[in-house]
Amino acid sequence: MPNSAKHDNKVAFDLKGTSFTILVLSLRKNDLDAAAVQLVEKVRQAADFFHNAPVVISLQHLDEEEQIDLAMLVSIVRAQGFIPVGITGCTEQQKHQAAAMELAVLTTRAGGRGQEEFVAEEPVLIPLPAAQEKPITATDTSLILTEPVRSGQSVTVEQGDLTVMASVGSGAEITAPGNIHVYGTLRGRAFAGCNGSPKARIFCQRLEAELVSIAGIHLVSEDFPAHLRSKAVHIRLHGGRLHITAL
Amino acid sequence: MTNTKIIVITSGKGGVGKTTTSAAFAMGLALEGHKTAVVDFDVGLRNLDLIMGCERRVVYDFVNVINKEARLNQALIRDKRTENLYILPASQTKDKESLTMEGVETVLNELKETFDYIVCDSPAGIEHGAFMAMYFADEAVVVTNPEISSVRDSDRILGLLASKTKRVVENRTPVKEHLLLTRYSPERVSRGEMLSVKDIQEILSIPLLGVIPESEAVLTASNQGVPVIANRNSDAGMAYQDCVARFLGEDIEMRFIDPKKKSIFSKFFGGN
Repeated sequence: MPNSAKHDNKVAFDLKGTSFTILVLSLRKNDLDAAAVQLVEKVRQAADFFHNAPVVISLQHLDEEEQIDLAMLVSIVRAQGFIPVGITGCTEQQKHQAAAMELAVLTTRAGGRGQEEFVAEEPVLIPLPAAQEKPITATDTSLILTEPVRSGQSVTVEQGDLTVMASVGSGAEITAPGNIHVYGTLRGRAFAGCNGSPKARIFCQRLEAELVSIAGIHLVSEDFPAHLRSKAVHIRLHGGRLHITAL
Repeated sequence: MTNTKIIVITSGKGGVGKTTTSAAFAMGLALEGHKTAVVDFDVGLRNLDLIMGCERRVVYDFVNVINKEARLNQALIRDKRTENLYILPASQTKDKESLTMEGVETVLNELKETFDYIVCDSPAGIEHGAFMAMYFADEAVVVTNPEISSVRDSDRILGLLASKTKRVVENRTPVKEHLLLTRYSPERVSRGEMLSVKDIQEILSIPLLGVIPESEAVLTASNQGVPVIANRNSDAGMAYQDCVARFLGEDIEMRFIDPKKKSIFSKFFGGN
């Protein structure tokens, strides 16, 4: 019983996940002198606001080869009244340095290094387009298609997942309230979580889609990062944004 | 004939070579000794008679037969060059709605009594005319140019073939699909200006019947009213002969898919 803890006097604490809004100081270049000067100026504008504010230092915009003096950076930040709590977007070596300074290493959706993940800029909600043709509709829980979904065809499952063991042509649409799996090239449009489920995901062997959408949040082909095009990917919704990760 | 096969030549997109292919294919089958009828479904924009060179002999047409204004053998035009080959021209004055489901079926059934193969030249698009041309088909030749718009339209047609034909409605084995690439230029493919055979096959994933090279012989043949397959020395003519032979079950290697090597002989003889 998850709620029993409240009523049980023997339990000294609850341990659960939550999220806080936290400042992230994202270093744009390896120039600590300039960063120090600019930080002083920034704090001068709103000293009360920044006083004792927890901050996470992000190194994700720096080249991996660059040697940054992490200890120096942390002391610059501390000197202005911030409380550094962790770092993110760092290399393996920097992780060790952070551990030595008792700083947490945070992996945010955008912060991971070497992790082929792409996070969409801004979520856009769109209503599902009306199906062009009379849709192939499965009332059963899930549907597995073995033939290609051709341009102009629209396949919708009422419940569960949709699996296509072939390609989905450009101009075709596939829709499911659950997950969508395409074991060929996804060239058309895929709408997972069409009933609004943010937990639905899209998997495909080759991403060449015109549009992907989860729970109404979509990305069009133009928004896909070049390095994930034509790759096997996994798409999920997290924090209101679509995340594309290489499989 | 109980084994009559109805073949639709289709593409979705216009101007890719459906009529050229219908004419060449029908003549190729007839030259192999099969009694063949080629039917123009492009009512209102009839072209097949021109390509076949019989436009001056059209008296009655497909729509006349459907409307019972003429008998089928009054409308069928015998090809003067090839035994076993007959043309059923389209009407130029009517519209596609004249092709009723019952009417088309009646005419095809009557053709089945005497012919081994019925080649249906589909109009472009995915409307009624194209639907009628494909509905009764047993096999389909999907004509595609090596460019993305044509490939996408072919994909669309393949979707319709798999869902909207009589064979599917009656739960029989689906229409057998063949890919025919036309206007293919290996030189342009090698320069990256055109989709390759491999690219297109990867997208459409149906068996390749043949590749017809971009050829001056096609336009010449059209303007002379002689199906290009009759020009046995032209590259396009040879490629169509290969296709017909493959269709009839022969195993023939693909030609005209690699860039030509300029030899000293081709300079002397002006190789085609």
